Amino acid sequence: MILKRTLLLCLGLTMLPMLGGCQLKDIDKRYFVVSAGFDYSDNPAAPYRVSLRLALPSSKIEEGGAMSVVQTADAASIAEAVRHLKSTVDKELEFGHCREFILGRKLIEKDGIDNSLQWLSRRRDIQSVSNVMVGDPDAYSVVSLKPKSERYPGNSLFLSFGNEGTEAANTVTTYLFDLYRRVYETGLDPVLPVANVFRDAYKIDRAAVLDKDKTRLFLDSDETLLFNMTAFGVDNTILVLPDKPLNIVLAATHTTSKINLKGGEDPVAIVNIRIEGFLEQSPPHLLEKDWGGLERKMGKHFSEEAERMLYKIRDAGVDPYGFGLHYLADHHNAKGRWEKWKRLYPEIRFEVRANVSIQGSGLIR
Amino acid sequence: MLEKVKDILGTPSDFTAETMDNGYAKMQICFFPGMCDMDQLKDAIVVPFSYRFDPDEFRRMLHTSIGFMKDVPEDQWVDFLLKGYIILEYEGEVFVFRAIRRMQTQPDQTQVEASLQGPQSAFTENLDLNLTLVRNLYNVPELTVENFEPQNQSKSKIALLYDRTKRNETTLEEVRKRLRNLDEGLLLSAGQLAKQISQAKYRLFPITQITERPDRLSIHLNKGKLAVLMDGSRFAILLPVHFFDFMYAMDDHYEPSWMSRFLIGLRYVSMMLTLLLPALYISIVSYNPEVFRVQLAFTIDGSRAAVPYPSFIEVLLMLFMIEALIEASLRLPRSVGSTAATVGGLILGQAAQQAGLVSSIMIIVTSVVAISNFVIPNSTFSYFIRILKYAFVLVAVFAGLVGVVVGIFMLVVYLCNMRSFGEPYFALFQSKAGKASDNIK
Repeated sequence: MILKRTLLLCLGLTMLPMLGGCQLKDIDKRYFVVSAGFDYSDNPAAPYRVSLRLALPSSKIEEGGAMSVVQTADAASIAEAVRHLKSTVDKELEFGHCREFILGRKLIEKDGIDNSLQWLSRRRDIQSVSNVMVGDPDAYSVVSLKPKSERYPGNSLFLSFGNEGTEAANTVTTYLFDLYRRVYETGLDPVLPVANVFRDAYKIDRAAVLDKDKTRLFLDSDETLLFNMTAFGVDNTILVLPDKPLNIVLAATHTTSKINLKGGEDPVAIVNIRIEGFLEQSPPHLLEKDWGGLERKMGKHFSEEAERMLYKIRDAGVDPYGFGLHYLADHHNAKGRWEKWKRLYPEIRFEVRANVSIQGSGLIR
Repeated sequence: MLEKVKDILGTPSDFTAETMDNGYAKMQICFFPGMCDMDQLKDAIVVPFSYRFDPDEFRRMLHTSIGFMKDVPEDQWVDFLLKGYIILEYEGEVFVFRAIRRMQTQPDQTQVEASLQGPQSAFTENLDLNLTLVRNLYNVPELTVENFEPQNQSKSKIALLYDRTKRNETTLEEVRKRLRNLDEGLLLSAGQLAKQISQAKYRLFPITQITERPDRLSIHLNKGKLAVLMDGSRFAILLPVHFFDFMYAMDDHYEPSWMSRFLIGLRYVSMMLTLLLPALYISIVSYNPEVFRVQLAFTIDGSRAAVPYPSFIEVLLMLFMIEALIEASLRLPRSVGSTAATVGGLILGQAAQQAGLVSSIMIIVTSVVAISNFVIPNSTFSYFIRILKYAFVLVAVFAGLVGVVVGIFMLVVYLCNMRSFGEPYFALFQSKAGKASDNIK
């Protein structure tokens, strides 16, 4: 009797999760969205244009065998546009594997990031580890590109970020959770990679720096590299010292960077960066002549370049490094502290202390 | 005497009942020739009675030799006969002489629990020989054997073994009580006996372990546990046991420690796989496809495109096939068994996938489930796991991944609640003798 009751209880408990309401739908009745782009159309009634790239899976896996379709809809909001799109496809849209969200350049310049971010962070089936980027000139062009090298639809764009596939030094990787944090954190501003289409491939080598809502500044490729090294300590970068007849190039295998804030009324932001690597390109026997001197020269050159980039970011009035957060963290957070920082920041001075260490010439003698 | 016996037995043709007369004295003798050892009969009775007959000596022999039992109550005569004893009446006295034909004189080879480096001898169907095997391995004066003769139709002798200094009194009392109160009816094997003494019919896990290896039994006794041997069965019953005892092979004691640790780990992984994989397949394919890596999701998606039915029908179909296959290869004669496996495994799996009945991933899942199940060293335990798998499948159909997680949780709770003859079943460490609680379930 007791056993029967226990069994019934167990059965009842097991049935409880059904109330969660997730329905049984087989994997082949779902359309996997692999990338989504949000654009700004010029129609005031339906300002949001959502383009989704849907994977058409095949059991054969081969180079260039990735099939996908791109669907577009305009609506008054992103959520509505997605609902419209649902009626144009024959299967359930599944965002569980959508890890690339492209925001059109026009959208974040005119309308800002907020609306898209709201939608992205509210939906439960969108992963927080999605990559967010800016599409230049618009998101649709990035979403609709189908590179020939793809084995899986959407894989190519996905592999461009992080260290999963390529480890490109000029690619800034921003995850959705990080973007969300940077939007809502005082004293830290979002930065997004900029993707554009370039000869049947994605070119992601610039970065857009935003204030809390709209873009303020676009960094070019070299500046993005410097930013990546100083802000994130990205490994596998290069460091160039202009020289005649050939530039000296250091392949940096290891970079660590640390930010310090000194001074009360006249703050100095100190970026300590240590770069290790070996020479990938240099005139013969240069290293043996003056090893330490070369290291110092390279460090000095890097510091100048990085400081120029830092002042540029400062003058745009944004703070992707989080200097403000540093300031708030090591000063007693009394009332008016943040206002004071806002007054101080446009006058802040930067000092980049680069410690370059050359491991060797890369040659085997 | 003869008439009384014949009254009860009737006159079966394999029964011999005669009056022998050597000219000096008469002797009535009866026995089942098929069940008796004729050499013993000749040496002990026929030769002294017929060739070297001396009445005094013969009488002395009957009265002093330990082979002859006197004063056996009349109502037990037939029982003795049926066990292969010889009954004779001489000068008005009835003697029972033990001359049972020994079927086995050699220990068996291990068949179920193979071991690479351990002893290769296993229990036989002869209780005396089994006790010898145990005594040889566990050679201490504290080893106690208690005999039970249940009053059921088989009347097979049952021996309860334990170490006098290490055993736990409460557990021992409980087991004794249950052995005295066995069901009427036929008792044919140790497995049946184990079912009867563990009493609860619908447990999800076995609380007794069945083994054919004397060395396993000795280790078990040494921990202060009990063992039950039964005449006519190659298997001993060990009790109480813990969940983790089932995942032990005897080789773990004989092989390098690193290797055995690794193998034990492997067995647990296999157990989890065979238990959860079908359920996980359903819940991931039908509820939470984002759990896969995206590449795998696309592959499964593509391979499932041809499958007409929802994932759980696919899973149940394949599981049915594999269970049928395992069952067939177990029950078939050995010469045919391999053919069944080949036909079923290779041809059917491949063909089912090409015909679009199941996805290619499902074939892999099925194979992993089947193979992992064979890794579990104890067959009884693996049966229970095989059944439990379906419970998880059922939960996965209705509740997806959340259901499976809840199911695992409930299974752990159930295991923690279980007791094996008063000892906690899910205890990671073996409790010392005399520590077990009194709440026997």
